[in-house]
Amino acid sequence: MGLQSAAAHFINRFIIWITIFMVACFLLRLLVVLDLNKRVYNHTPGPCRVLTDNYKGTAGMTYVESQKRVYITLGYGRAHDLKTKTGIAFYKTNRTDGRSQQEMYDLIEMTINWNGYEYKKEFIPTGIDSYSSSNGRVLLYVINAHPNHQCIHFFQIVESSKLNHRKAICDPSFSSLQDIAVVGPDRLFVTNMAAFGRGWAQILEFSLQTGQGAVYYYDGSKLSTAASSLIAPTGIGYDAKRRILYVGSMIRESIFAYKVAKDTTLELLYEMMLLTSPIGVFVESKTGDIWIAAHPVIHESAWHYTHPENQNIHSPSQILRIRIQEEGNSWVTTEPYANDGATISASSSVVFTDEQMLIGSSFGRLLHCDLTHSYIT
Amino acid sequence: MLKIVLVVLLAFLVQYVFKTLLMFDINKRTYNHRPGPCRKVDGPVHGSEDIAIVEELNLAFITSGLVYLIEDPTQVTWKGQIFAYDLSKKTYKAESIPIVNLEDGDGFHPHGISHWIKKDGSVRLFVVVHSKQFRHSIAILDFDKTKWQLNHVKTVRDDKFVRPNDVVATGENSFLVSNDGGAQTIVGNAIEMFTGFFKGGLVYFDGMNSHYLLENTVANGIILSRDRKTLFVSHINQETIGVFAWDQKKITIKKISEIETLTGCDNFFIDNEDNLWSGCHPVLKDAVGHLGDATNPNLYSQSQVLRFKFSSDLKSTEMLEVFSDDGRFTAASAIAATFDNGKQLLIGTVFRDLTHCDIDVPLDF
Repeated sequence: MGLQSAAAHFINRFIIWITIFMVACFLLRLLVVLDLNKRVYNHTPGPCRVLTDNYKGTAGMTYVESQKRVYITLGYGRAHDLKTKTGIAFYKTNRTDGRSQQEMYDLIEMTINWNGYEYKKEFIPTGIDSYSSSNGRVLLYVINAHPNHQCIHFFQIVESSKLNHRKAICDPSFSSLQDIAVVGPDRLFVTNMAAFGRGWAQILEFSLQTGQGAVYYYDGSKLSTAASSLIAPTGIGYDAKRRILYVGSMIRESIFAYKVAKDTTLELLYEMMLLTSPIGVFVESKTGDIWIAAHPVIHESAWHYTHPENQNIHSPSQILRIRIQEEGNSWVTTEPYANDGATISASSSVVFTDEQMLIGSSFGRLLHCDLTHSYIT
Repeated sequence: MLKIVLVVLLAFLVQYVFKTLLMFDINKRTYNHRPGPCRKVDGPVHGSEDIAIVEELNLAFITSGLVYLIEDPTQVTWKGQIFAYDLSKKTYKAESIPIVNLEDGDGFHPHGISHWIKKDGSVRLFVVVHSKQFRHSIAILDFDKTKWQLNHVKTVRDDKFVRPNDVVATGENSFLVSNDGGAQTIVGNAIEMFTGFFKGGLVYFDGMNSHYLLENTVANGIILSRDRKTLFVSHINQETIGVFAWDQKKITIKKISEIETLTGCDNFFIDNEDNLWSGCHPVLKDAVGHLGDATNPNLYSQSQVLRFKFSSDLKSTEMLEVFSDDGRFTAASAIAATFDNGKQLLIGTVFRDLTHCDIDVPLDF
């Protein structure tokens, strides 16, 4: 009896210490993830200017080469209870089409023909991508981030500045849609960042790093899971020439590269540790370079997302450019832009073309920069 | 009771491990960017740790061949030198200047450098010097432009020069010296770093006597503002910059502010708009590895050039990152100095070469 109670006592103390050790390790990991020793030092790649400050969010962007236009989603802040107009606009990147200096930086808002869609007032666009077919038709695919109505919307561009709504795909598994990458006509991948849509439940999920994010694939008629058990997948971009899909992980601070097979299954090639949280991904079709819009300091981003209405609570912005070398065996990372949040807060999307760069943010401004030496920045 | 003690001990251990992990920047890296085209300057290969820019002559003096916390003098296979670089044309070639009348030519390994324009218009250099045995002194050298040489005038040794790093000239025979620690060995330095009990400080030499201004801290780069009233001190291991009001007559400093940089800023430069420039080490774990084995080409650490624009009350600053490199191009930047009205930049490294960049991007936005 004495021996038995001694053994039970020992096991009890052992379990207590193991528990304390695990809690201590968890706390350490959590504290390191928060980026408490990081900050951003401002710099620009050339002259920059604010294109618009009129919407609480310019969170998604896509570039259409055939039209020389960047399509921008507006008003993501409404998903976080901000009062703002929502919609889609475009920016013309061609500097030699005869427009005046003033007109060159105009953003043109598009009208949407909803064709009787009944939930049009619950449209909060965020991630966006496009597909240009060989007959000149341009299709836009837009993530709706409304907390109660997460969907993928299909549009066609008509008459230069109008959008025809074609259909919407909504699914109960959509809880936190972030970004979209199109691989063919009506064939696309979307990232679902977390099992919980927003608020403290989501923050707790991120803190515990349970890895409940997923990438879904839609083949034109059916939705399926392409990759699961991901930790906070965010930005997604597709390199059509090399058939590589890039998925950013906000909590792991890395980018996953997947090979897209003929049957569109995903095979993991490698993981690039960025040590900054990727939010938006843009792939240059010509070079294969990956551009990342990132949140470099997580604790400031978390504070900013919790209080988006407070103009004094900033989150740093960062744009990275990754040049892949040797078929993914190595890469070179450069940082064309960084800001502590005073100019642009919480960068979430980026497009680069023709020595110019557009940077969108979650709840605020759209920034345009010229790159003085784009080959070295 | 014992359980409480153990839990408190564990809590202390966890927070200590956390602080140490953050101090070593395990979750940090650099992302490369340049302000314009950059090229290497031919000449210094084993260090360009500090730069003194003499605007009157359009000339930069660069110290090279540093010895630091060395324990085996036979490891020192390189030569200590001072290079001169002509800033009026882009030669990308610096040449070593002969130094005449040195007491111990082989024991000359320069570290920090500062200059003073004498009454007759000639240039006097103040140089922190270590010997192969890691003994310390301040060398005073006069630049002879005609003969193109440095004439050794005097060597100052003092008990208070415990481990000098940088020097600021305050007169023809007076200067400020920073001590970046108290330990003379690698192990001792590690103990200082891990415990946080630093033995460095700041010393003023008035031409005859030395005076302590700061003690029990880390002082790396030091510089005075253009009006010579404000002193900037880099507390590199604490990742802060101390701003002090300097009164040379009373030999006193008064603390104005302490700027938290979250990066290890090394030496300083003041440009003609009174902005502070510094070469920094953003990731400490890699800097420790590189600086601990300086001749290993496979070891390198990150470089970062920051420009600080201070508010008028000197209590806050805007930080701009002008240059950043993961170390493969420029390893362990220690000093950054601009010239040509801020259009060109020199970046010196602790144990490697010198980088010359054009600045083609806007620095104010």
